Amino acid sequence: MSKKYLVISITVLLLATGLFGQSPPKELDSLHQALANAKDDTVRMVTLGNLGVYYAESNRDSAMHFTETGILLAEKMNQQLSLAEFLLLKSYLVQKQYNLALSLKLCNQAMEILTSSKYDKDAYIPPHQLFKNDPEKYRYSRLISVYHQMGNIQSSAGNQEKAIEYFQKEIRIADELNSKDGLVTSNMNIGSIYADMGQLDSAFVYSQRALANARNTGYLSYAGFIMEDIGLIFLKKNQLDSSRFYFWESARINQEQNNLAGESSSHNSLARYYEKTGKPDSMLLHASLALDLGNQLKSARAREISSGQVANAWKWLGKPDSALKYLTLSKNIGDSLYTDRIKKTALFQNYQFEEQLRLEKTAQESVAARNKARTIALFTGLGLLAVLALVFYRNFRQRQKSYRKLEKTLSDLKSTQAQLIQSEKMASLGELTAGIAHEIQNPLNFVNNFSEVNNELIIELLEEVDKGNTAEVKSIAADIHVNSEKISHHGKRADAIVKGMLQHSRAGSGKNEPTDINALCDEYLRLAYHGLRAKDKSFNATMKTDYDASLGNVNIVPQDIGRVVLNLITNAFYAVNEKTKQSIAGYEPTVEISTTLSPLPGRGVGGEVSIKVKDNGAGIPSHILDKIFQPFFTTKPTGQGTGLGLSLSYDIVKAHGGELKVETKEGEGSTFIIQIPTN
Amino acid sequence: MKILVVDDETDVQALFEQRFRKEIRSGEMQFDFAFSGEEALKYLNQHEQEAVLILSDINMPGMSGLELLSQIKQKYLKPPPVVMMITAYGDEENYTNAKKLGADDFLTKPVDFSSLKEKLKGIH
Repeated sequence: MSKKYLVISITVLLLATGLFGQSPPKELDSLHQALANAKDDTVRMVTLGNLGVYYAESNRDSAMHFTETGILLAEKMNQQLSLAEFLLLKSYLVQKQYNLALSLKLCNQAMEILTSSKYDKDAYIPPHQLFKNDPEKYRYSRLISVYHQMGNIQSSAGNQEKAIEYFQKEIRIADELNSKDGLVTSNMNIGSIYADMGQLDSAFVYSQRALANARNTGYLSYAGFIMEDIGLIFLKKNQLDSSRFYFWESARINQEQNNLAGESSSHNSLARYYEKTGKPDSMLLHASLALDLGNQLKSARAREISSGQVANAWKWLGKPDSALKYLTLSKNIGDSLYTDRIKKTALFQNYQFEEQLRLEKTAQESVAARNKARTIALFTGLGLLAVLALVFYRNFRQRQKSYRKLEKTLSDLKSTQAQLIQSEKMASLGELTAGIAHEIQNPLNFVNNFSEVNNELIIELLEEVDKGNTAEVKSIAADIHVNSEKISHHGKRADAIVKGMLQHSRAGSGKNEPTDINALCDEYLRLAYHGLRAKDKSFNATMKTDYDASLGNVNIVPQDIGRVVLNLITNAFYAVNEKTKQSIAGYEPTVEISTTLSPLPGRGVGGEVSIKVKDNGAGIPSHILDKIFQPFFTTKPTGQGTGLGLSLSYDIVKAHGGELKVETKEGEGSTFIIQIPTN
Repeated sequence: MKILVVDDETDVQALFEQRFRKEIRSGEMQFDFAFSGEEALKYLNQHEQEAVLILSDINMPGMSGLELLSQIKQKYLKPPPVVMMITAYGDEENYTNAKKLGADDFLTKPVDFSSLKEKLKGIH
């Protein structure tokens, strides 16, 4: 009995901290006034909420009316946060009718709204609210009421431990947000539950805490309930005076707060007190008062309890008829309540089960959604990969394209280089043409002259034969012989020059062949000299030669080394000619060419051939000394040199396994040295 | 008549000696040879009054025929030797320069020996 009793008493409304302000009874008239005059939907909505809260513990039909009107209005205005407040209020009201399934559903709806940020925009937040500029924090603060109502529902269903969990959550948030109002009802409810469970000390602590908070905040709507709870604790501890004091205080405050449910409950407790203290008259009085209030409130539970007490009082007073009448009433109410409860408990259990299923489904859906998200992510990833692949492919293509371009440029460059090399050859050939003409002219002259002379000599010879002058015949014959050798020699000389010219202009590289380097040097020296002379009549230079007779034949590519020698000699002539133009007194332009054979240290066979080309020109300035072997580097005026001469020479000597070196002193001249290993 | 032939081609000696073998044998002409301008000057210093005619090529390494000509004409005024220059075919520039420097006559390569003989005999 006491358990059921407590169940009713502890579940109280906690909405004063939310949308709707506290509404002491004296404001009732002004509330109705406000509702009648409200032109603004928001004002109407707030007023409906306040009326709902006001009637929650005194006239639940009215409370339900205002609450449902408020729900429609909030939905129409699309004010979801306000709607959540109305849903919580309705949840409380149907919980009082023991419609726990609906109550929990409404509470869940409110919870859903208050945990989503999507309604924050344009949300109406009452101006008295602490977090009126922060919808997110405001929503969080309203979870206090949600958890409270969750606790109420579980407590009504008899799940006290679960209820305590919810109330503890409520306390945590209330503490966090420093919400004193939230601390009143939560502590109160926990206190009640502990009291019901017989843990009186814990119950006392929580109840005292609730009371202190109620006094501090002036939130006294449920102070009566707390007082009653404390009274019940004292009653159980047999501290009867204290018990009576709290019960009376409880009844007084509930009356003051127009809390009919609380007042009814207070009188139930007073009836119990008088029952315990052996005062049936007083017991009957308070039980009857409680029953009246229960009738007013149309609370079946209150009526059941109160009529039961009235029956007991009549029985105690020796009035079995009256006792029977009230006992029957109590039993009937209890039976219908019981039937209703069974039905509603079943509904609640079903709902909880469905809710469980729904949650599981939601979880499954969220798993499915996660999987879907994963699949989407996978496909997105694949898409990205494809895009990346495309990008890479394009890069690759572009790189390939630029690579091909580069290859083409390279091959263009190579062919240009080849052309340049060829034109360098041709240019040097051009330089040589006059020299070559001169060189060919001379031997041809000799050939012509000596053959003419020989013709004359043969005629003379025949004459002498006729005369029988044998000595003269012999002498003439000897001359003819010498001359024909001269003819042969100069013929070969012309032949060699033409061959050399052809070799020089040939594009491909030749083959190694045993070559008389001294002859090669001499030939090109003359070619270079006459070439320059042909171009510049005023040019002259002293040529000194010093050939090492022990050289013999060396295996080289003659036209290549010839080109190097020619190049070096041409450069030397150019250098001395330039210096000549400065008209320095006593200057004798001189070019020397010499060959030497020296044994190479550490080599058994062969040695090293050195060809030195020395001039006494201006020398090479040190700042360009490291550049002279670079391709296209030239000090000559534009059009006069390709800048490839020394570069090609360097490559040719390197190809022979040798080295091309330079020794120079500014103002004194330069010496270029070709060093080629024999064998 | 003493004739000095200046040419860097040594085979001119054999050629001249063959071409003028009759004149040489008869003592009508006497040939000396120098294979460079420097050698020619050296010869002239040694045989000051002997050579009456100098026959010089122009294209020679070292001292060129023209330099030799100018030195001869500057140094050996009395008696001035006759200097004949041998120029390449169509070489107007050398021809003009030689004339300016006081060359007495010109021969064009290839040398026509019969006309040279005529010229020498005319001088003689």
